[in-house]
Amino acid sequence: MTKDKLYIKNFGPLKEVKIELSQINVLIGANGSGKSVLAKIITIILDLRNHMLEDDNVFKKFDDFNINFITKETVIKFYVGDTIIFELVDGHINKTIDAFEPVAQEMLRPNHENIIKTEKLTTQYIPAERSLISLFSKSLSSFLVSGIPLPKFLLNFSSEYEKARQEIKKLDFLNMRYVNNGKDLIYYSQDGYTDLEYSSSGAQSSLPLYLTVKYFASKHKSIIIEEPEQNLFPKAQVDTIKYIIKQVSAKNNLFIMTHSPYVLSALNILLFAGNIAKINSVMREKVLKLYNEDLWIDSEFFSAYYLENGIARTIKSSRGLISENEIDDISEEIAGEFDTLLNIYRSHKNDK
Amino acid sequence: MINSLKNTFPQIEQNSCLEFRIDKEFEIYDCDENDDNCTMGRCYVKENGQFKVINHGPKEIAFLAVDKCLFFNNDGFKKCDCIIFEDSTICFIEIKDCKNGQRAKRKKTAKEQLKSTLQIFKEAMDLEREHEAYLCVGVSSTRPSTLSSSMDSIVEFEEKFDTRLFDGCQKEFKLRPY
Repeated sequence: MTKDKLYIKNFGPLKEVKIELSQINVLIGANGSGKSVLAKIITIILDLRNHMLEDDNVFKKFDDFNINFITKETVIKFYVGDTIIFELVDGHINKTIDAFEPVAQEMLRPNHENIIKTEKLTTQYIPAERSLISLFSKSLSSFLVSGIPLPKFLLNFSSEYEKARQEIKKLDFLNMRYVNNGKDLIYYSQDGYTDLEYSSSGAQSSLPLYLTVKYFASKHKSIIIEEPEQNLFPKAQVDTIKYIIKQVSAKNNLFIMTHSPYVLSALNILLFAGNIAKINSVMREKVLKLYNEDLWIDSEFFSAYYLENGIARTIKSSRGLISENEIDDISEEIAGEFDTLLNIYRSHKNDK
Repeated sequence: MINSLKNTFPQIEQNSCLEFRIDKEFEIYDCDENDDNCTMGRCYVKENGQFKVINHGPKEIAFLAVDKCLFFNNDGFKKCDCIIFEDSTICFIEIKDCKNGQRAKRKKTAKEQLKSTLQIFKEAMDLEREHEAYLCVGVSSTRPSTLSSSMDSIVEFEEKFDTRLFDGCQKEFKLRPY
């Protein structure tokens, strides 16, 4: 099966990026490598597949996400299979209508209201700034009335988070329980609870993620998550990845941007579980005892890229797992720094 | 195995690459570049080496120096430092000190050396034993101890060479109940 592809050239920090879009995708890269920019482009472009926009409104989307880096040199091409369905070249947009989803084709008909509303987005973006939302959710309306400028993507996430809160009144997560009884409460034990705003940074950062992932997976097609590991202990990072994978189905596309070696290792475990379960029925049964089938990742439908100097490089091996990558290299170098000190200590510990 | 090795690689005897150790414990030392203490170009059994071998079994352990003894740089392929084996297991070992940093890069090189040596030996002869490969790179463990890239390499060694890959600088030959 030919995968959808995205080609981006000369867009902000992105020099030339060509990536395949799979059901589950992971992107790594240093701070400032352009991961967030790429996440936001993917959010906009995937949404275009389902909701046709007038050209001006496409440009407006880039403003909404604070990434209006379009210049005359910018090229963005989105391929469904081998067909280009969206192309931005020389400041102009071309679309191949036939390849769009039927819903989008319908929108192109004359007199159709083709300005989309944010709540119709089929791609949902869970930003790294999500902990601000749980902290300031009560104050957001005051911010808006006071005219404090907040990025539109953050407001959109805030609105979606609110909907998720209204729909999911109770949720167990990371050995805690969230209860919405008019107030957001976090239970650490049967009786011990605190208001969300006074809870740990891990709870404040992960609750918006846990609630919205569950909510989005049932209502939207694509989910883009920045740094699922944020503020979490390594074990909680691994549990969070398992939770996310459990929520998404074959109908969803998932994009994860991460800096965490624990996230990569957790994904590799689920990929390997999926791979070996396919080999024979004995292995399938044994893997099933360890991991439910909804946790298995099919490497056929998985992509992994490393972003550096504005270029994306695949980090998925021929085994279907995440292979050599710069995050793991850093773990090696940290261990190497300790080795260096250890060598000094061993060589001179008996010196006078 | 010994005869087969000598027949396949006659330079083993010529270069005195093979020795047998009856010690319950011994260490293997590999010379790093610019190492003033290095008395031999190749790795050899020496106190305070980087790789430790513990033998709980009744039989001696064979030590075969590979790099700069069985094979040399002008042979034109990558090779690991040495091989140790007894009746049930053969272990391919690459040692890298990493005193000058670049641990991640050196580990990648070490994997390639192990893969190349496994390829050569598996093509040349029947090893008749369980295969293991050891990346003895640096001293300290990484966190997570099993990185995603390590997982991929472990699977690669299993798939391509039917070999168990380990990150570490010690091999313990257990006493087997037979």
